[in-house]
Amino acid sequence: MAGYEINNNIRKLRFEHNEMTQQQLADLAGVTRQTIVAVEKGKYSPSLELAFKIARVFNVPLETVFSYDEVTAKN
Amino acid sequence: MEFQEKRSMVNLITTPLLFIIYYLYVYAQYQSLAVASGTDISFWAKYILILMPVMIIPKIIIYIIFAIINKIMTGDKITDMEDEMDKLIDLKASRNGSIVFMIGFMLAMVALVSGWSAHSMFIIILGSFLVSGIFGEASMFYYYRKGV
Repeated sequence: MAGYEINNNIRKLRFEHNEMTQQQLADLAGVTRQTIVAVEKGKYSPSLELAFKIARVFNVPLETVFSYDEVTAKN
Repeated sequence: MEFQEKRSMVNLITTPLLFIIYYLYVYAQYQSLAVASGTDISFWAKYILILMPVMIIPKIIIYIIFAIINKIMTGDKITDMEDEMDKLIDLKASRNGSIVFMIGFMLAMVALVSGWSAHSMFIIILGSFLVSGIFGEASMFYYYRKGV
């Protein structure tokens, strides 16, 4: 059975939104910068509520920020 | 290193330090009072009860000092905000600490059943407090570092 992982485009979206800082995004989403850092690096999968909040900050659908992708085996 | 990681690190250092200072004080009391074996239990129970405020109050003071120093050094704003990731990490670290304490508590009971003195049982319980505190703080640091 193939494994899946949650990926995100937060870094790209921040860049496209006038180089928004992690602190700015954290303030707008109502979390700490540490949490944004962890989400961006894929170290923490946010709750559905936080995922929607982040998507709302960028004014894009949830699927644009997060994707659920199949893990490809690396040799 | 982020604020939360630094806070865990500070706790990781101060928890055993406070505990050892307190334990040395209690042990000195125990030696000087020459506690009779019959009153052992009330002596140790009293000092375990006092341990709670003794650990909490200095920790609050140390946290305030740490937050001020961190603000001066880094310029980051002082925040006591706790979001969903902080709560999850706190929960997992508490769980790990509780498991360690439970093991220590069971060991203390085994010691008592095996005929060890009440003094030994309380020493094991106090040791469990220390180890579980260190384990909880180390877990917190690990989760902030490696993710959760």
